[in-house]
Amino acid sequence: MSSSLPSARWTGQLTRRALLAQLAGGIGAASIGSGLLGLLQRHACAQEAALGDAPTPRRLILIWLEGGPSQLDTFDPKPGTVNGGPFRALPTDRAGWSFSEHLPQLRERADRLAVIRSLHSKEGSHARARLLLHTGYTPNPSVAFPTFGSVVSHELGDPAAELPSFVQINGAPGSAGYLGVAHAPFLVARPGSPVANLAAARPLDAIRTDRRDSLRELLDADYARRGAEVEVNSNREQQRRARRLMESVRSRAFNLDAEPDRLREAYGPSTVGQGALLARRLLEEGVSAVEIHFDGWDTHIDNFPKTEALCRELDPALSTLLDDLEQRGLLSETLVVCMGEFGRTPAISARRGRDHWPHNYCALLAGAGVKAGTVVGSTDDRGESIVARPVTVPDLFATLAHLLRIDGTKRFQATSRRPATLVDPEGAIVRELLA
Amino acid sequence: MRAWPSRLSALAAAVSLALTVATASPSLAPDAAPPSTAVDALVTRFDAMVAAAWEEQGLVAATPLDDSTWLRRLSLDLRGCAPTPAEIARFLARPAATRRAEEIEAQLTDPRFADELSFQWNELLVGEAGKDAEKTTRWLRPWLAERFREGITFPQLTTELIAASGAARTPGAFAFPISFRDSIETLAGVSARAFLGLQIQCAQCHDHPYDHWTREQFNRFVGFFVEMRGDHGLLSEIGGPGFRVIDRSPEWDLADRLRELEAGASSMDKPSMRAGAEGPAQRRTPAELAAVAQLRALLRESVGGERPILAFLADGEALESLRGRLPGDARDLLDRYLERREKFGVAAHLDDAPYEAQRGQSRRAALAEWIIAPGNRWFTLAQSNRIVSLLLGHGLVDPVDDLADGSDRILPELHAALAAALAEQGGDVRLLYRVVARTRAYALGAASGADSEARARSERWFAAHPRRSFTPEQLANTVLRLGNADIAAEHLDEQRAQLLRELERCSPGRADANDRTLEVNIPLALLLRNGDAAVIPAALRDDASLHALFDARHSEVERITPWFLATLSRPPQPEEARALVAALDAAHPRASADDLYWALVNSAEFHTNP
Repeated sequence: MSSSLPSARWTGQLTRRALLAQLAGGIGAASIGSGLLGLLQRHACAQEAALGDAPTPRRLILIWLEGGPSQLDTFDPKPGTVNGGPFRALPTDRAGWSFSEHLPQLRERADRLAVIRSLHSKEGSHARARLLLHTGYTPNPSVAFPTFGSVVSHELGDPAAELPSFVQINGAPGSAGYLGVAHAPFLVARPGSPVANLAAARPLDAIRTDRRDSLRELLDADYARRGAEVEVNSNREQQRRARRLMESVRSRAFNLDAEPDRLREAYGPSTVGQGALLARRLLEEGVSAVEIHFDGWDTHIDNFPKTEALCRELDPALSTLLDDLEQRGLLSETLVVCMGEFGRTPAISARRGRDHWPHNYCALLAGAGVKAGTVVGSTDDRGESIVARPVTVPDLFATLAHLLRIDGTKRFQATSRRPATLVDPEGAIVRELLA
Repeated sequence: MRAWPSRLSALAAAVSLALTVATASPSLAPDAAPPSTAVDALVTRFDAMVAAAWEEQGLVAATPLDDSTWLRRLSLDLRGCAPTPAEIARFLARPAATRRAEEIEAQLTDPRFADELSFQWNELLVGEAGKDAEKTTRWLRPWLAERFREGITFPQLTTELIAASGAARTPGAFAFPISFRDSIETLAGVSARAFLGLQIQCAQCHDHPYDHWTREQFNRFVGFFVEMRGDHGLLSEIGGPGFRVIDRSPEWDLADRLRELEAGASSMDKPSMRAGAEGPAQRRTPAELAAVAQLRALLRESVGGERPILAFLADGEALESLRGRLPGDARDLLDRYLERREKFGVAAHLDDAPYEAQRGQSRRAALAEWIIAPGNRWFTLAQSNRIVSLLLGHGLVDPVDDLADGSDRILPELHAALAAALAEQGGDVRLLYRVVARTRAYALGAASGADSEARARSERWFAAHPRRSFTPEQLANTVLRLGNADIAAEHLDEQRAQLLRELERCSPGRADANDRTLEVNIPLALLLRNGDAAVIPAALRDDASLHALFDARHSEVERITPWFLATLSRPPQPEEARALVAALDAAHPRASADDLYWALVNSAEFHTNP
């Protein structure tokens, strides 16, 4: 174990800043690795076993339900109770598991899904819970934890790929934190919209582009000679990757027009529908992680008509995605996760709304390594507390990392005096979810 | 020279002069044009202490910058924008012995200095609010810029931000607390970082082995914010949408929220959401209504100060019985109140001094008073450390906001002297910018040599200056000024806001909370390659400029100098000029000029603060 310390293995990939910070702090890469080892052994062993037979890198699609979906009106209904609301529930053949009546297609696919109904945290504000559910760590202004797609990009992305390894569709982009902006999400404003600045207003031919790049290279080479190798190398590399993306035929993946109308309609015309379709296209062209932001779930007022409308968009989008991935043989290597920052109050407010509720809520998982049909955790009759198998957010992230064959115990120098592991070491893998 | 267009000829003359001057007198003597003897003394002391450290560490100071590159650094640091060729020419035309000190004074009174400070403080204060910061940045940054322009001191700034209250629909200090209205823990953590240079938030979850701070200290610090309530929406006080921050006891707040719950409306709602509300409120049973009434009565009695609710809460059985009878939403409010009360009910200062409530003073105001009190060394140490770090690339303590635990600290006596001077001058924001910008260390170039460890050590001891990437506003300001020398400020503001949003999209988040510099990635490289930034500005596109570029009667350096000054703020090296001119295609002058400009803007040096 000690001979293959993760931190020693990839110090060479540390960002320029992290490296300079280390040097300035006099902290050698080896010393980062030797500290917390004992504490982390339990995780490491499990993950080492998984890493042993790693064939192809897995991929992630996160459907992010921005605002916090109502668990009672989606994946943990309590019909007929004081908190139940007007929706009926559609039972599955799994005892005690049902879906809201507005998710009929997903209910048909319950045998391909797994659900956690007992996620809980203490974070009830959007900003903090959004960070928690994207990084797996309690937010802390002094440590820049990476959003999970950036972790996937860093660990599983192919540096030689022509497309960026992490794409986010819609919404405010997350941060790659200490992993560096090379792993920050590449933002697509709307599914199908052209990639910003992919072509110049007046496109140039290759000869002209070569000429420009060689002039730039003259300047960069001279600047490097004057001592700015670090700055120049980073500029060269990113300029090269930008040009490669501009010239890559794979960038066709961003254009949805090539997809048959019937499939586009099956996904649904919504942002989440077309975003899910775009996600599949991107994975096919070598992208490692895609996050789709699906906004509108913050239903403080009139929860029921709003949630119904949102479910009618989510249901065909996620269902068609599962079918499409499966038909193309991609589902077994793609982890699909659907969740938001928290759940919503079981009690229905005077405004027919539901407010923030981090005490029990749901996450849906499917694909890579997930034991389909699994139901983890349950809540009481009124949906107000967890009665079985509570799952923390660090538990969830330990599980996601494991499913993706990412070594969550890898340590990084997050700040000059604080090492951080990719996954919060307090998390324990939810073994019931593993196939 | 004759063939040059008039606006460029003055420049060329100035640059020729600069080349001579740069060789003859590479750096400014610190004693030139002293604005005051106190500043002089501090600069001398700074230089002496740093020079002694170099000697002790066996370090040799890097070669000083030439004048135009020094001006680039100063302009980027103080005004957030590279100098224009005209500014470089004016600077170089002034007497060499005094121009640097004069330039520092001129820039410190330029409104763009206040603008640059407003970006720095905006990021420091609400950068953490993430997506939610967007709406409050609109309200906070203009206020910061205005207050800095008016010459606000650090203690005033601190008090106004921490204790901000009131309602308004115009920019104001309360945009800071309102950004964290749902999370007083974050508000407390950010306040400790920004005003005290202390990282306390790691203690929010556990007592941490790395930390100086305990969880109890953290919770008690948060206790100063527990009475803050922030609303954003339709406000009766101002008859429309706006912000409101007030202080009131958690009991009063709970009573108010219960009342709103019963009334079926809340001032927290956005107007648009409220208009959409329909359908009857959930029906309450008589028992539920009675329970809510009982709780509200208890709370009403407690507002006076007797706090009968605390006695009631101490009786577990009575509490549980009441809780069980409440309707779900009211019970949820009560639970949140209880949790907050238990965790953050007691306030105490970070030096463990207890907090004693004073009539008419909010808890937040009491905290501000403690922060800026003369005995509180964290405050001036934090502000002086941040300025040193902004100008020299490293703090005297690193990380810059980790004064208690930061293991990397140098020159503690110098740090103490700077902090003391800041306190003596009443927390004058400009003082230490003036001092540090005049030091010998500030005028040094980057380290030479490939040994990165030696380079890092040199930079750590201020014997060499680290090259830094532009911040978003440095890039936006520089690019927009290049293309729009004559455009009105309001239009530039709009364009800048748009470009800053685009840069945020390209490069979201930070690797280090204290580092706002951009790192090139694919989206940023695409923006520089294909966006408006690389389109040649009118000043270089006209016939005269093109003619000058291809005029073989002049040396390569002369021909290409205007292009270098416009983008890199320096004249070209002879060999650089020769290689670039050789690559131009005289048969296609316009295309060649476009390509040259494009290459300059896409070079690593363009987005680097030297």
